[in-house]
Amino acid sequence: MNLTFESFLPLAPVILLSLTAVLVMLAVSIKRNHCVSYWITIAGQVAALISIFTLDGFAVDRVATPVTGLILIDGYAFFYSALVIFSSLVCTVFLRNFLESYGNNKEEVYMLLLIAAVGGIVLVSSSHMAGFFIGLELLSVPVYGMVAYTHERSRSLEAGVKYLILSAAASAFMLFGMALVYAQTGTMLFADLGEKFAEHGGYLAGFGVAMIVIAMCFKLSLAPFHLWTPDVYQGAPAPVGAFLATASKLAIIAILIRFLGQVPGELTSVLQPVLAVIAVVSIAVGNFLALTQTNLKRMLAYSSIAHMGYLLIALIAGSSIDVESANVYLLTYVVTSLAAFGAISVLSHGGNALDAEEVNHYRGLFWRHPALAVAMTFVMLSLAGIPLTAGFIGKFYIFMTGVTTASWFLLAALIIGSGLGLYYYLRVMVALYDRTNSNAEQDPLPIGRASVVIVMFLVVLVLWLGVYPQPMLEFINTLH
Amino acid sequence: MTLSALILIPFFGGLLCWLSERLGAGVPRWIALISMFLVLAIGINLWVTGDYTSIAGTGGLNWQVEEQYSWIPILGVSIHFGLDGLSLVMVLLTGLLGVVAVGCSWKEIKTNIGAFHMNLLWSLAGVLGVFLALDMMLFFFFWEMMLIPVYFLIALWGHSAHNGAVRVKAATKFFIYTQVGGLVMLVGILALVFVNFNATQQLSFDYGTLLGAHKLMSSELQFALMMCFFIGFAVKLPIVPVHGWLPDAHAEAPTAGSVDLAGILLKTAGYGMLRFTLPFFPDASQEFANTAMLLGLVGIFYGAFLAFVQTDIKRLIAYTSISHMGFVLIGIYSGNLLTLQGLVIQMAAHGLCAGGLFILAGQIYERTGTRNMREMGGLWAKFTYLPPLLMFFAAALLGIPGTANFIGEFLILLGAFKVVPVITIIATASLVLAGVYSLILIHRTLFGQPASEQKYADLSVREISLVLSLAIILLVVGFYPQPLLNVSVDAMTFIQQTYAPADVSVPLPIGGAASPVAP
Repeated sequence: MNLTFESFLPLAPVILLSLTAVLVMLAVSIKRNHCVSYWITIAGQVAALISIFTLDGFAVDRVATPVTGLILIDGYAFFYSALVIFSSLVCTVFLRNFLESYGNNKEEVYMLLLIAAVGGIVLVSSSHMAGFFIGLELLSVPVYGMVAYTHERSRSLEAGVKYLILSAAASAFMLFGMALVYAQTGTMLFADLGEKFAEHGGYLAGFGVAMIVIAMCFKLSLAPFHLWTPDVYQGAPAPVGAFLATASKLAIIAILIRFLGQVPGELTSVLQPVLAVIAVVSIAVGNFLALTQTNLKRMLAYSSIAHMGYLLIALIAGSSIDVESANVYLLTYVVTSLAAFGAISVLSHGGNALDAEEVNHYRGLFWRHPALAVAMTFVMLSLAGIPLTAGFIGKFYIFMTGVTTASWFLLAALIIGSGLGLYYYLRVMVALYDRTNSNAEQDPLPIGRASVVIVMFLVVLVLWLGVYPQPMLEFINTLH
Repeated sequence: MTLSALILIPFFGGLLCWLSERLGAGVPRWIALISMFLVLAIGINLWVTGDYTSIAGTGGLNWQVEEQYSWIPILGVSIHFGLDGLSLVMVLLTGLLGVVAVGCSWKEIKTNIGAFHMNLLWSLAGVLGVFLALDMMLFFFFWEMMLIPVYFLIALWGHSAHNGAVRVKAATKFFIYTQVGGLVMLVGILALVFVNFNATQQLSFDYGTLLGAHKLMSSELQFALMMCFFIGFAVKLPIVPVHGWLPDAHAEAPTAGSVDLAGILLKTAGYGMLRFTLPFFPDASQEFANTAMLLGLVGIFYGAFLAFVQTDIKRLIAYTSISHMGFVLIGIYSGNLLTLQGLVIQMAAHGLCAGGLFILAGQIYERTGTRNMREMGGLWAKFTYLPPLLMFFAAALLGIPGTANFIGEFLILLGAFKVVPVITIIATASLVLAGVYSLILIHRTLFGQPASEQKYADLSVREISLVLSLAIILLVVGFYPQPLLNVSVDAMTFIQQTYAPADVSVPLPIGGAASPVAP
């Protein structure tokens, strides 16, 4: 293959972000300055985001461009890459406010974040097992460090180690699965799997695909592979939780869609009922366990398990993946989750022993920070999927998938899950307005203005997507 | 623009209330009152200028005003409003009870007045949207949207005797019940849309388009989808197995919230069944009619018996609502024009009557500090105006001739007797129970030994005029219901014709002078 400058051009976001990571590292080695590192990170991510749009990533007539055989850049890859960069950009802002009061080294976290974002982009664009694995590890390994970044907090350290061990286990599953698929078919390219499988036949590849899917379930924290989620969400600093819940999850969903789309139907049809059970169990486990949580981060962790269950419905209902529904749901979920964790980050400070994570901390928030409380109200409504918020549009698409494919059992799970979900979302929402306890806990530190602005922006986005979703739906509809 | 204005006035009025709170406590109240008066005025104007009997007897749709704007073309969703006689009656009821709800909370609500009125007005905006929407997606938006403000009304401004946890629990119960019902209905809506899409390749949520969709599906599917709609509405009506939220919500809601809930929100369900369930699924509805009417019967007796044993005055009124909604259910499914016309009167009358009773209960509570009827007694001697008003509304509740309630119940029973005589006879017997619970209500509160020697302030002019206006309307409609019947006749003829095209032998109560004649 002839490697020219042009052939690497579609990788511009990856290259820009990698360069930024190096720049941040150099800046730290010259002189530690939180502000400088932060602005370099912001600039790099904005440049990467702009590069996606200048590359005409979303042009209608765009053809998929393979780069080096490991990576295939198409409209979806650009869409998910843009989402990953957007999420990490938002997380950067949250991180800065969060770390202002943190006593230890602050600058390295940006480097880790950038590397993880690079990993996410590689993952969502990979068309080859090697790209898949490299992307996944590049995404996961920096996150261990980010989760354990506030290592003075014992929970944070514990969460980092837990995430490391579980990720390693998942990677082992995945590598073994890839090896089995390769042993059977002799190819690592997704696109060749079908053809090669038809030539050779056999059942090893089936085991392989199943193991890869299980590894993905680990990463997506679908029940029964969800046990790490609440602890890691709780231990991780709030802005890192935001990254974990959005960029990391969406990249894995994206590659799962791509992978399952290419794997021959004979191999996935066996998995379909299993995945249906996993979806139902995730919805049930996530919602039931969230009911009793008094810790907001743990509640969001369990609710994310349920949300991944809803999302899985779009992937498994019917004979093919409903990519459009999955994308709509993913977009709305990412925006909402970012706002939810953003609100927690705004009130949390790296210098404290704990984040603002107990529901009690938010009691009467409306009488202290009205804007933030109103924002959280809409976020909770969006998570619960109430009309006029983005969350409803996402859920509406999942309902559409369920109805068109006549998956009545999945729909029943979706309805019951949503009903259960209301209970804990509403509980948080009404606590915001509780007058009885409004002066009990004053926030000792000022809240970061930039983070508040970003949270407000995200909430406006949530409402806009909910009230007038036409542009978003049109955009997603034209992706290919 | 008129119909959008009906929804936008309370919406922006609510926003203004919230923003203007810092200007003084009175400002949001006046803004809210003016907004609701405007809505009422527009409604009356639509009544006066519209011609609601123009196509009498042909069984077509008679939209007096229609509006359509583009919204989400990719899904075939548009902002489509339409107003016919049925909508108009509901809009008038909403406007009137909206004014009353604002008026009755004038003294009751003392904290966060701006936010309270914002929630009240937004819930009314949502209800108005439900009554006007002709696009299923838009309808669903409003259907769900009106819950959130009501949730806040109950959870934040509710009954202050308990600690907040009880209120929040009641509000959450209300929200979850209706939301789950709503999601079941959403499945029905989507399935209906996709059946239509598969047959015609036209993705549309529009009412007019979907009216014909039932011809494109098997009878089993039609029945299943009808059930989806029915469950969604049944929760809100409420029908007995799914009524659990109603007494709690009423017991914990502020007076305005109760007026809102009993007077208007419950009517959205009856409206929904008439507007959507019957015309969308006529065959399946007929198949289901007997079961539905049996459920209605169960509701009538269940509500009446439970009302009898209540000691909390608001819970008593709440259970009588369940009983009355049983009548509504029988009326909806017996499907001849007489019952359908009676239904409109019954829904309006129940809204006014329950609204009046809840306001009086609120006024008693403001003075005596209790809602427990065992602690009241002997109120007759302590007030001049309150006891006769309470007696009037209790009499209206049991359907004394001369009140609108009587007209409604009478027409429903008269019409239903032709279709389902046995059920009607049993339902009629429940009127005795209505007498019992109404009498027990006034007996326990007004008569007997006074529980304390304390003197209470009598009703103010504001309070008397609120309740009196409701009483006068009940009497006027009770003595001369024809203008109201004329408004709804076209809409009801359409529903009757689509639901039971064979049954046209019933004489149509049309025309200005002629009163409805029994067959």
